Amino acid sequence: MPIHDLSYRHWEGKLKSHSFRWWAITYENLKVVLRRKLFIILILVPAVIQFFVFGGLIYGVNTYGFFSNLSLITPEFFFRFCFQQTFFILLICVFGGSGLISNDLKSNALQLYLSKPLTRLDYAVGKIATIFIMLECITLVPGILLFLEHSVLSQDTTFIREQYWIIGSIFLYSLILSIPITFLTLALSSITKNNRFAAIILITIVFGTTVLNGMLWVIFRARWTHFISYWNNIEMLGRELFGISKSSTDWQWATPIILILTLVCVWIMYRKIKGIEIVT
Amino acid sequence: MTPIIESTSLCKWYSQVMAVNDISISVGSGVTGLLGPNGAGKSTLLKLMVGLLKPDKGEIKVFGERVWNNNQINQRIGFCPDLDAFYETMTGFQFVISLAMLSGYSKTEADERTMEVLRTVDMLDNKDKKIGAYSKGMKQRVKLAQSLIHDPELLLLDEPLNGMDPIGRHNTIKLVEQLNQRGKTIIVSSHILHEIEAMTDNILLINNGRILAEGNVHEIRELIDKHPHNVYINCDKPRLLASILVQYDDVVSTNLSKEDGGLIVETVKPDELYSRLPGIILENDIKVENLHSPDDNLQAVFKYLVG
Repeated sequence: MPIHDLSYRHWEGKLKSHSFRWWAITYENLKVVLRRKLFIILILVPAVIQFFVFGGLIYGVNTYGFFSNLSLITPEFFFRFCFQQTFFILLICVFGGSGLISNDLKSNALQLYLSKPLTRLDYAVGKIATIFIMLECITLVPGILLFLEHSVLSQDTTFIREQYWIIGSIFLYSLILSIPITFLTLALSSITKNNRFAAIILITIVFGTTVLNGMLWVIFRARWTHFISYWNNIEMLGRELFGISKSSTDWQWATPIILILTLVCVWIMYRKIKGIEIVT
Repeated sequence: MTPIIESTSLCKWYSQVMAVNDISISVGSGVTGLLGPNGAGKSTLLKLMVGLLKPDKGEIKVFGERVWNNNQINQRIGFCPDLDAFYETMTGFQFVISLAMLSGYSKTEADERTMEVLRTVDMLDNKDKKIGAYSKGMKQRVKLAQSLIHDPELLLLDEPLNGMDPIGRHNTIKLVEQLNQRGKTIIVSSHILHEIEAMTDNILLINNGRILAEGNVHEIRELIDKHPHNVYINCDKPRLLASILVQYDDVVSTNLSKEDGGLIVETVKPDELYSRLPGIILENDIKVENLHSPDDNLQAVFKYLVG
């Protein structure tokens, strides 16, 4: 009778290249987030429904001539679609993103991750990709699909010839909608072990700045008050990209504001993502 | 032989607290015990070895390479932390496989390797239970499993026996032995002397962030020969034996144990005492039931050095 060796065995296989090590983090986190049924039912499904509503409008206009006198399918139509997704963007960040780092801090898992052949950058990229992928799925992907739908259903080629740049605007605007809030969410998640606290601060920053903007506007009636609101800045950049800006200089202020905010968040993440939290 | 771990004037402080203070060590292959009381700097030293902490001064090299900001070296290091580092809602299998994926395994290989290491630490039967429902000992074993997942050459185990039941301890000690036989270098920390003693003779004594002594337990004993060495003799004529031994200059004191009447001899030259004893015993017809030196136990060495 053969006697098998049950003691520790060396592993002789080959490891995957290091370049995509971050994907393991993203894959695991997406699995955890998308396993939550309520998250899918209350956030992702409504976001998809919104896409179908806009898609239905395009279909109606092109097939049955609904609203044709209103010239419904304009660059503003695509801007509206993207900007209306901001509500779902915030919900995804609050419910799917705020715990991404704070839960690792709470469970001390970060020290285990970083004791593996994984850099802090791999870890951060993995977390960024988790939120970014979800956000692009509700902005870039449906935005492009709507553009293609209209291009295919439209009887004349004028739209494609004259408005082809919209596809670039959708792409760029989806990045503007996703990147700053992804970094903001993760920076807040990295400063606390409590994901609820991170979520509350995120909501406060996003909604609070809009409320503050409204209050200051009532008092000062000055244009600068609009730049206090996070969403206002994002909206201004969108309007500029889709060529429907109310003021030609808004984006010149909104761009550095969003850029600085993003850089501050990157700096916070750089400072806070460490294997060992040193409490002095 | 090239040392596996080498540190030069290594320092790490947390604000005003010096956690690791000017440590220069050279650790070769085999099992090395890192021994010291709680707060001595053991965990900090291990975290410096794995690259989780950046040295404030000095440097530390593992396999001849600097560890800080060198994640490639982590492919060769397995780390089992002292604190729990789990998502309690995960199962043991999910936890280990997620770390296997981070180590660079494909899904299929991660799956196989996870089963393999869970079998090694005897956790296969409980792999599908939530970690939150695990006992302390089971959590320790899962932590040990994750440290083995990428088949590292160097294992850093921070208090691995903490919270384990006697069978778990026995199996883990056996596993350490087995891993050593398979060519792994292991650094195991503990504040409990007999735990280390059961795994290795080769120790590093650490206290207040400094290495007090290193080497074999017996070598360390030689280092501290200025301290008296205790020899316990259980015999039928302890008072007679005491009166004879006390005449020699190297014998500092003799005491009778209150518990069992055994004789405790304090000497500064234990080797001379050992060579002299057989003659005295024969000459005086003393029946010796038991003779041992409590000083050979790490506890005594540690007490001497820590003060």
